[in-house]
Amino acid sequence: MNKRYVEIVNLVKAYPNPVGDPIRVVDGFNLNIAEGEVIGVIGHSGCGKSTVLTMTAGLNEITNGNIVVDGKEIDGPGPDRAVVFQAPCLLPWMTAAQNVMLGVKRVYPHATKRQRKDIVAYYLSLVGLADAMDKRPREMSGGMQQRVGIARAIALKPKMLLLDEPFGRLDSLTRMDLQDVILDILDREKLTTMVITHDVDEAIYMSDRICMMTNGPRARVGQVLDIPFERPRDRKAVLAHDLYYDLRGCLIDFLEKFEKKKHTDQAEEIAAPRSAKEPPISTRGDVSARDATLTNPLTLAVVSPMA
Amino acid sequence: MAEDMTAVTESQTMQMIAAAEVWTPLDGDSGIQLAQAIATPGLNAALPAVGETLLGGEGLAGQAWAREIPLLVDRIATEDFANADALLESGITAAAALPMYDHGRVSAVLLLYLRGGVRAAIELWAGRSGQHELGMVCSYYGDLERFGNISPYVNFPMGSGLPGKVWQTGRPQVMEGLAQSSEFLRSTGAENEGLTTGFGLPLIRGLELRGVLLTLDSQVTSAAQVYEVWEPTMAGQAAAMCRRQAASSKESSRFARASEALKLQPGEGLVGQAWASRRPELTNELAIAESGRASVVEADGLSFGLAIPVLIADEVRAVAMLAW
Repeated sequence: MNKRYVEIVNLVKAYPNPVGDPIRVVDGFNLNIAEGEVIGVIGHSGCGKSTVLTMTAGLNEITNGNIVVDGKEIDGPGPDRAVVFQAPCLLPWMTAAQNVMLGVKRVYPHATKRQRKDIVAYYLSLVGLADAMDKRPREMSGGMQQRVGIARAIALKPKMLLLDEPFGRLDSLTRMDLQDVILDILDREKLTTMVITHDVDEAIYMSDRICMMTNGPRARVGQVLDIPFERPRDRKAVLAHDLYYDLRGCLIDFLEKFEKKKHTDQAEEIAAPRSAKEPPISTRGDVSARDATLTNPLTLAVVSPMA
Repeated sequence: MAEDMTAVTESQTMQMIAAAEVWTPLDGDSGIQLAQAIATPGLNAALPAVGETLLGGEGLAGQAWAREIPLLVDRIATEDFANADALLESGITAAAALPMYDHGRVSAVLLLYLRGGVRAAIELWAGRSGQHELGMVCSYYGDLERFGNISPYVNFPMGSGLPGKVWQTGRPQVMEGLAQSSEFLRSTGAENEGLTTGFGLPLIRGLELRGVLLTLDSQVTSAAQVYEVWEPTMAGQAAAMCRRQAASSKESSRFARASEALKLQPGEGLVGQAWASRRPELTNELAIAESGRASVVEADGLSFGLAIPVLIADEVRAVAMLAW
């Protein structure tokens, strides 16, 4: 297994600030994801979780750093990285099958019409919509629409699946149902996946590892928690596991700690304007004063010598 | 932890480190020899005598020397200690062997013997293969079972938590008030277990971090009564060591206070000795070794001292001092 199937190195996202220096929303985000691994990303609202995901999807320009998927540095969006957002964004005049077919045509350009139809039918059946292929979005519930969105993403046969709070708009029963649908697909397809969520229990249930982000601006990885539960996951077994509440406590502890810190930082922000605290940054590739600390020889390389 | 501050933690009654040894390579690197040792009374019979030797790979110290990696065992066993039974009878249940690197080789191995049944922990963290994180390699939790359950699943990037802070700075770090600390990310566990003070020691080879050793103290057991971190500075034209961080138990606050304005030359005090020798230095007569602070050593009831140099790119950049 390739432990560095996805490499996110020193990722920075900065936005222009008309009254001062650019604001670094994400700063020095480092994360490697193994092939077939499901990594959950949690953090407070506005901390930059979705910014990392959209940069990985190629939908958001990277200010500094890089993202490599299966040995190829990403440069814009592509079918190798499929995204499922909170809203499925289906084309309303098309049926479920036609919506899924949009991506299938692009990924299987040499397939016959029959073969493409079979592919669409296969992926819709995977998400439990074998009987709803000809329905239009207005004829489907929110949960069904999201299933179409998932089928559309999986049908691209992506190297990486990016889920941005995919169940955020659904009621809790539908949410649990869809979690199982996705986990079932991930077990079957072995897709490398990043799932952004606010829900601690969802993160534990779905992930192999959970990346906890510090608060923005200048958000980065604060802590990474290994989830030791075997796959395929069984909800009852997970909930009954001896470690479940310790893992949950660890996540909540982290979030609470940064909730307190957020309030402290806001107080400091009032006392000292940003431009007084932070050196300027400019365009991608520039080495700012702050970046220079990354190559300071006293910032030690870490090795894994343990046999 | 505020810099240049002497802080006081709750009263502590029992030390986790029961004995310590420094093993150094023999001429020709044919093995290692016990150069220095300290032990609490009653333990000497279970421990090797100064001058005894081990071959590479023999015993825990010999393994750390031959493999050039830090090792921590949570159970004393005959494959690691020839005198395992005697150690166990003496209440020693765990041990850590820490190689000290200098110019690309292991210049010494510091061996720590740890008491059983204590409310304190010792953890060894190292880089995880394929990740930008420190993960736990091995640990000894004494009676802190719950804290021990979750910790192996937590990983720290550079700058996060106590291990990440040690990695980021490349320096030993002392962190107090673990249960309330915004920097100690396992603070709820620390609160539940009554943990108070954490000490992190980087194990560095050249510019590579080979591991981070963490000790976590509670109100009833600690690794030491006093922790100090000293760093070289220029005092006039001559280099001197100044104290950058300190934490101490209530009974030992005079010792730590006495070092606030102290500047040590190479060879001066235990810290200066470790600076000069570039190896760990031990003493069971702290008042003699620390003649500049002799009166407070006695007043604080301290007798044991351990000074550990931290070399980066083969230069001594800090010395950690533990006293109890």
